[in-house]
Amino acid sequence: MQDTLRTRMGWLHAWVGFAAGLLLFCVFASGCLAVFDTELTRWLQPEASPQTEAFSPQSLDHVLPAVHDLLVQGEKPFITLPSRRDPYLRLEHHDGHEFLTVPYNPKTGERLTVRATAGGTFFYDLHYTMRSGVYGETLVAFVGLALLLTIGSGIIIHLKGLVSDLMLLRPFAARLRAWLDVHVVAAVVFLPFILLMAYSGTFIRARTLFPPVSYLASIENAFRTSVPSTPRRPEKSAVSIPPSFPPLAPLVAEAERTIGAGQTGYILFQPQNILISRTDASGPLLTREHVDFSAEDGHVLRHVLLPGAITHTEQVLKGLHYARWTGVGMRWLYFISGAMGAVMFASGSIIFLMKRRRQSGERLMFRIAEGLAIGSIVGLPLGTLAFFWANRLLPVALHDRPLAEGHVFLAVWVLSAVSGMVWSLLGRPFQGWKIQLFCLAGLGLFLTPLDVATRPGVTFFHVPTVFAATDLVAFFLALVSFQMARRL
Amino acid sequence: MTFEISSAARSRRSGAIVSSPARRWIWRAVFVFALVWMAAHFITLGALKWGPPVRHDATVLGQMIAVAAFPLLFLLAFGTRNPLRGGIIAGVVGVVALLAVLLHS
Repeated sequence: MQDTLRTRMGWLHAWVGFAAGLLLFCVFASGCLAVFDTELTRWLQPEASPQTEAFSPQSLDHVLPAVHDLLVQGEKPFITLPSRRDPYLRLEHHDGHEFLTVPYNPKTGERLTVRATAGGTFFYDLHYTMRSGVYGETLVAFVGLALLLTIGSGIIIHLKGLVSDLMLLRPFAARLRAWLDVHVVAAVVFLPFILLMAYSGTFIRARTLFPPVSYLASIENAFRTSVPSTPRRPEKSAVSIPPSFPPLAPLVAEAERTIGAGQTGYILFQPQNILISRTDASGPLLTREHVDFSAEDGHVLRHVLLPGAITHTEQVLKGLHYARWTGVGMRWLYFISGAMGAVMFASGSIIFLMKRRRQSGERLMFRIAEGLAIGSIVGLPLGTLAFFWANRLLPVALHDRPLAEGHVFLAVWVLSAVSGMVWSLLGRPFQGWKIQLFCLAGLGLFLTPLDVATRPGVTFFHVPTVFAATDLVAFFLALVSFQMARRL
Repeated sequence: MTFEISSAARSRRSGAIVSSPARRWIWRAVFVFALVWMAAHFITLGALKWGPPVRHDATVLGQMIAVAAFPLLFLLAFGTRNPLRGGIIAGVVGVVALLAVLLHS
């Protein structure tokens, strides 16, 4: 191999891309589902009908006893106000993994009887932590940097043919050529989106990679023997929670006078304060501007809005990444672009394996790599569909139901990875790909019948809803998987 | 790729010991990674000194620059024909960033 700029960049693109690409596939796939987290929560709680009554601010007071209970348990509850995207009043809190949500009637404040679920925010947590807390967050941020490197090296490799490759797709050419076309078309057409997501996503989690403290100080602290120099202070007394909260409707009206009519989105409860925050849907700047009230008597404490050009730049980057301000059309564009990003990683990994199969196909490391690829590229969608199936099939009265849904997801994913690895180590990787792709096609194909059979109040002639969209996407995934399995 | 396979096969047939550039590139990538990572770290730390007076803004600015600079600097340092030149580029940026941390009053 000659030592030229193109070969160096090709080597970097292939190895960094493959090593990070398997995880980045999961990040992009879960990210494009997280764009529709609110809508998916509605699919996962089918008892709440698509239409409901108009919001009445007086209904908020009926949620307060449940808020109080959560505060006593040490949680940080918040109410999400109804919006065009979700017509229900929702009481939410973070359970350490995802935001658990309970819907309330927006007019009466009556709690709706729906199944407990991890909801669409399951994919949000998966997207940026891989459900592994701060370690997962660091790893995802790190592969974000690797993605920036891979994009840069990819641009250098394809610089000459960047424009001509835009229109070049030969699905019936030789397999390697066809996969290469898919990879280049997905990467080049959606390059601006992928670049924006890679940079903004890595920047949002940059504190895990580049903290504003010296690594030397961190290492010193890690090795320093901790000897308490002073006697331990007595435990700080717990902050008292008022027995009752002031009525919320006047507080919302007061907050709207400051941040604009119809601009309130969340009411966050702390033991001593009630924070009414601007909705994320108000614009591309994710300002999280809020008006704070006393939890005792409801008087205004402060209005918090961070000023400055740098803060605004940060807010724009977050707003563009989270896309909570967008309409349905833009949300679908994000979904398709994210899915194409996932296709780019999957096709890149397949090309990596195809190019090396003849030379290294018998090597143990190659077989492990292919097993991992099966576990990632097919395993994650399998786990995702299993999550949807579990949501409808697990008993509604099951204790810790949200956790059980997550366990089903992880169990199927691990099973897929182990099975892929075993087939690969046995020297029959195609069998592994085929079986799992057929399973994926089956789960996707039968999701619509499952939805129709287990959703209360099914009607075929109603406005387009999240149910139809989710079922159609699963059906499309099934068709693609079936075709891929057939052509292998 | 065709060239790669035939070259490897030729060298195997002739029994000649050919040092693969890929092996050199691994060490080069590790070396460049270490230098560029330290440069990005010093940029984040330095932003607190030379950046805006508000700590939050300074941290955000430093991280914005670090995340953008990391891939650019890495590709620049890894892309040069002469490995020493690449190392010098990344090293100089790192030293300048370190000096900005140490010397800025």
